[in-house]
Amino acid sequence: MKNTMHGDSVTFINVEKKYNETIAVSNFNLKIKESEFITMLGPSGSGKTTVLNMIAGFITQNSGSIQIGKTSIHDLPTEKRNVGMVFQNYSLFPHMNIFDNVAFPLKMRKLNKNKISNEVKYALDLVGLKDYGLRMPNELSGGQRQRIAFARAIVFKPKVLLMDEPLGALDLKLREKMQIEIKNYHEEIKCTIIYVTHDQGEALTLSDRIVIMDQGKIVQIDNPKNIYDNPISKFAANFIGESNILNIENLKSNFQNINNDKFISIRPEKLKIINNNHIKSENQVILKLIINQIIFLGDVIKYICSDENQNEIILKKTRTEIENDFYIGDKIQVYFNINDGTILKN
Amino acid sequence: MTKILNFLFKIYFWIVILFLLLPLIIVIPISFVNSKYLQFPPTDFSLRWYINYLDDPHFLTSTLNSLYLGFSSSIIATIIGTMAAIGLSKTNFFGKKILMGLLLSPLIFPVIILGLGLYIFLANFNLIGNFYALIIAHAALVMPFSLIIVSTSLINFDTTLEKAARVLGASPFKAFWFVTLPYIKPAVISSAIFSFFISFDELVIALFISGKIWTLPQRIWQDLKYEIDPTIAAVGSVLIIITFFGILFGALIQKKSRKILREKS
Repeated sequence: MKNTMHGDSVTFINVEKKYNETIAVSNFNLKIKESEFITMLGPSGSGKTTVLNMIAGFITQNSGSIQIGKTSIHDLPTEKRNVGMVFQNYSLFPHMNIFDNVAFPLKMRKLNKNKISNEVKYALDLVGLKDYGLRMPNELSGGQRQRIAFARAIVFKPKVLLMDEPLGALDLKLREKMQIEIKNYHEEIKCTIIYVTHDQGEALTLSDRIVIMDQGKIVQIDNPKNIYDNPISKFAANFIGESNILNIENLKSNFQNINNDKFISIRPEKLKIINNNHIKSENQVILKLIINQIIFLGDVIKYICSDENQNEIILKKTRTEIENDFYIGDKIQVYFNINDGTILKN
Repeated sequence: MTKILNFLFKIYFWIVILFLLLPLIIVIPISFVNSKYLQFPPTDFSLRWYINYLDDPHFLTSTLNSLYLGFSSSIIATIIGTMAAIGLSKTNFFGKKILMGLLLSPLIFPVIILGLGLYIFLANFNLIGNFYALIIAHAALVMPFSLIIVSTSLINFDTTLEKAARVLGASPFKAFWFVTLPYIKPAVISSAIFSFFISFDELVIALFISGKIWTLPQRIWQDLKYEIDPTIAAVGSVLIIITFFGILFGALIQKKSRKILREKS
């Protein structure tokens, strides 16, 4: 059974969706590769769920086309699109036991009983709940229900699996555990996964590529590392992790401003505290800060400071990095290497 | 203080219950009398009025008529009411509330006005005394109950369940059949039961339009007008028992449906 599945590509060409006069998604172009794990990340109202619903066929785009593999899905009703879907609130059928829930897609496809039984067993085994067939959904915990929802969504071996904030209803600990499980399932079944979330941590953990969306448009598409290291805009820099965004004109350095770019983004952990044996070099930017607030996060300490222009600057240090304690009101000097920052296009 | 208040409320509760139930319960002992008249308390017991009921072809025919009428109008009303409830729950359009009000109007109008209207209307088409016309009139009368009961159960229905069924490969009809219908089934069945009893009990409209067809309530009405004998008490007792178990069954089904609802949260 192993690795019998592979994913299909999903292609969006100039897709636009309006609700009355409100634009939900516009100028949407994206090619999702075969077997890729892609995450649509954005705040609510950014259009990420709209994109998912268009693939599922719950809503139809006003213009543009969507293809699964090489087939345009425009004329296919939802049930013929052959995509799996996992919903935020599990959406298990409450009147069916677990076996019947997972068997549902196979029954709809009129498979024979033996085959149904084998496939359901395989799917239940994959999610580690093979002995739960005769239980009812209300007898399972949230995490178990979501595993069953996943088993039900992949039991018919869809080439594309849609996941709409599947971990949103679970508590933090369980969410982190399920993230790893989902990643393992993906390794096992190799279908294309399109995952919608507003949780940046989830996106960084799971994805091959992340699509950051805002107001119906794609802000940035890249792998998690590049998304984190090289955010393209203020929005991207702030949406994934924390960022200090500095006005380049205010920086006292021999910084070469070639393109008249205005802002530079620097991650809080890239700021280094200047101590006595600090060696100055050409491409360093130095900031003079006053500590306004100290937040103890266990493994790291976060200092919320302000610079000479009253901009808020966040500094994050692991506890081993700090030689002596700082207090609110302390004046400190920090520096960063220009290469560690990212020039923002807008 | 609250203890006394609680006690007073309890007494009040039982007075109301007795007030509602006594007139019903009193019929049962009367039905077992041996005398020729309605007598309470009975002095002598017999089953003669029950035998009389089962031997009387007029009573039997009218009972069968009422059963047939109740079943037919209940099935028609339940199907139409359920379809209307589903349709209305899925759409939102200008005038939806007005349409809902129109559909529920048989509940609000005095039945006697409804009966008069039906009489004038059906007389135009020579349909007074037509059994099918009576069935349809009763179906219209009880349809609002199905509409209300099924609509209420659909308020809590999670529409993503239907979406889930669709994306997993079910056509719109199959999604309805395998997912929505099982969910509303208890409401549908209990609304069918309630509809049946409302139609089975109904007198006013039947008086107006049934012509020569006699329903059971009409028969009882007629008997009460001309000769009061304890057969009516026997018939009444049978009706009370059947209604009691029918409504109990309906209530049990609704209770079960609430249990299914609970597992969502």
